Amino acid sequence: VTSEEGEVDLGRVIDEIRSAVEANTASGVYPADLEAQLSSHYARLLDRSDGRDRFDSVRTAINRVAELPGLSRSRIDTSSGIPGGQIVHRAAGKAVSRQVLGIIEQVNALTETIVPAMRALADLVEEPRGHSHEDVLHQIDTVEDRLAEVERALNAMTAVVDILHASVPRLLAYTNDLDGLSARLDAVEEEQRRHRFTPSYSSIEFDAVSRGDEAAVLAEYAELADRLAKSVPGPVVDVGAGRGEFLALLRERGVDAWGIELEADLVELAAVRGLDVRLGDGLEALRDVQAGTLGGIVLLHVVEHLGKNELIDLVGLARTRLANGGSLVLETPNPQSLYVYARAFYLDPTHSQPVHPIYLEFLLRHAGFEHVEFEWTAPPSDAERMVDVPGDDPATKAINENMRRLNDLVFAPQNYRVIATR
Amino acid sequence: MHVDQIVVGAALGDAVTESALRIRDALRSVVESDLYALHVDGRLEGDVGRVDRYPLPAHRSNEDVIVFHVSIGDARLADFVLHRSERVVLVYHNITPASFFRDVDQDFARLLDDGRRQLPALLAKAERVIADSAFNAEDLIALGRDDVVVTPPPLNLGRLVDVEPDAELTASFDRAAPGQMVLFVGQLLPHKRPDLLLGAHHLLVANHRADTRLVIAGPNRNPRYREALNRYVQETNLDTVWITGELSDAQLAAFFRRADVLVTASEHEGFCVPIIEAFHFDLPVVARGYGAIPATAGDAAVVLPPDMGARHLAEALRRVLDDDALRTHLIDRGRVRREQFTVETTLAGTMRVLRDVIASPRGAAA
Repeated sequence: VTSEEGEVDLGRVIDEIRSAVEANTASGVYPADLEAQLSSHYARLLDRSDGRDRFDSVRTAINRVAELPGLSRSRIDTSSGIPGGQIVHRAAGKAVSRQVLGIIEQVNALTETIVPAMRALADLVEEPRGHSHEDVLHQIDTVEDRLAEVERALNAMTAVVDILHASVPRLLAYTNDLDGLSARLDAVEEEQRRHRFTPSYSSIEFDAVSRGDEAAVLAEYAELADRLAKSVPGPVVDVGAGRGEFLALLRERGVDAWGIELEADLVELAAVRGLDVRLGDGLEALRDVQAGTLGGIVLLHVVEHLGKNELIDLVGLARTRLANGGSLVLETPNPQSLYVYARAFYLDPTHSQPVHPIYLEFLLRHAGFEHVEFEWTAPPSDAERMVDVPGDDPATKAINENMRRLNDLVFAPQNYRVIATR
Repeated sequence: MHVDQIVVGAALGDAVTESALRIRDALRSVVESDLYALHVDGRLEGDVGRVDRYPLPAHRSNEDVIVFHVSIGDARLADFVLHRSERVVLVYHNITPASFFRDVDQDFARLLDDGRRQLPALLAKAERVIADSAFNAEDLIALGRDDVVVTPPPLNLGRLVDVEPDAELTASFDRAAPGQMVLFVGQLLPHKRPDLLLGAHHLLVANHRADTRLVIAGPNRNPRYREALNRYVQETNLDTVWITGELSDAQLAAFFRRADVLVTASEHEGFCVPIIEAFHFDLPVVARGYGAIPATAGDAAVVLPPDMGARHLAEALRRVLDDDALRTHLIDRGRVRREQFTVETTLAGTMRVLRDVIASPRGAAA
């Protein structure tokens, strides 16, 4: 097997081993079926022939126990329908977490101990019958060993049970505290459910009452649509598109526009009219739009429905979504007109609060809008105003001046519109 | 910064534990580092922490690192790692295919199956993946991970040479085992195929060398399997087989010094440490070409093709015991081969990856 340089060639060694085995097998020195004999012999040694089926079910049952997920604090539901509820639930969990974790740990340890003990017991009863007297003697030894193993496992189990037993009073004390907290939270959540607004009428039915007929609405916004059609540098989104009147006006003027609306029945109505109105939350829809791409974002009578934080989020988000030269158009009831409170604002139970123009201007500038323009729209009809007292004397003049001031305060335009451009 | 390691079970002499301890010692010169395990051998208590005492998330930042050593599966441990917010580096030591154990130990087979099942999720979470052999890396590549770094386990594979051999055991050899000694070192498990070694030994003793001893040295992990092997030895009247059970380092060193050849019939090895250990004792090696064995042995051992069985092992052992030129050649090659697995070289390979992770904060890694 050595080459001329005296090097051993391992490839040749292996070839020679193969040849030698073939020769020895052919001559009967090595049994040809040795490997097969070994395999069947082992299969027989390892086979548990009697009672196997019966004991398999025991095994399956034990395995099912072993596969149960361990106890964990993370499997306790802390969700809550009210803002902050989840924090309370979690905090309650944290406050007692050392104890809860301690107990979970011990229960898990107990489970871990019980399962091997059960397995050892299963092994014990499953022990195959021996084939010879010696085998039986040998197996008795093995059985005794296993019995000792089971005893050890049971002792360990008993120790864990003792620990668990000692911690029960403490667990009960914490459970009482937790019960108290949970009960209070349940009450708050129930209260919240009672106050949730779930009207039995449809938005379409209510819009007819609150916003007036569509023709009037179309006339009111035609001029705004004209202006946007001339100036917007990209597509327009109408957030809270409602019945889609404004989208229709934009479409007539060839503006690429789509709307987003929370109420499913209004979305259907818009679809019937061939308008692109998507069902969903306006803020979320804006988040999904690529930054710097929109020509205009229009919210007509929407901001008075928003919460305080939502309004701030909206203004900031709109600024990022608009292209340069794009405009955010907001129209909302004018809180500087007392008439609005008497006739309009509280007509809609979903209004959360009026938005003051000075606050809105502050928000817009704070978000980075440089050009902010205000327009005052929908003045109450002149017929509503208090009329002057006839006469020219100083007293009459003073009365009429006071009436004028009062008229301006009470009958100021009902809405205002802000156009903020970036 | 903390770079902590987790292994499933920490035990003295266990290759995964030993390599993790070396990595920890090296890490401690750079960052804070501890080793944690689900099961801790009593002798390592204090040196290795239990995973249930792993620092709470509040005490770790998401820039810290968990180095998770994957060997056998444990659903709880994998869940633990998957739910932590630290960065994860996976060190894959191989998961033995469960099929080897289904007939012998269904529970263990289930653990191995679990391990395979958890692997994709762990891989998805891991920032870096290390495999300790190219053979092991194949499992991970098959799961779509193409950036696996292959570096051998940082182990001092020559450490037994410096251990004083057990005097009592050495003295007993002359009395009890005057002939040549064939040594197998490894756990007594089905995939190591000790049954083939017994078959080969039977042929060797019956036809060639009646006084040869076979020593099967290693912890017995499964009583049922051990019992079946014992019965086989009894039934075949093989009184020259010595199944030792777990050994101390001193006892193992005594066997390595006394043996004439190291043999393994194993059909699945992620690295096969005893081969390199044998090279340190100038022992020739006969093995079968499964798993990482060809890559570990290189050109320094007789590696039989996988289709060769007990008869070929017998013939190969006979050749290595008889053929002095072959023995000398194997010993010379072994001396060269063992130098490629020094602890300095292998530790540097692992530390290169870990230093890179330490130096590149989350998100910066390619």
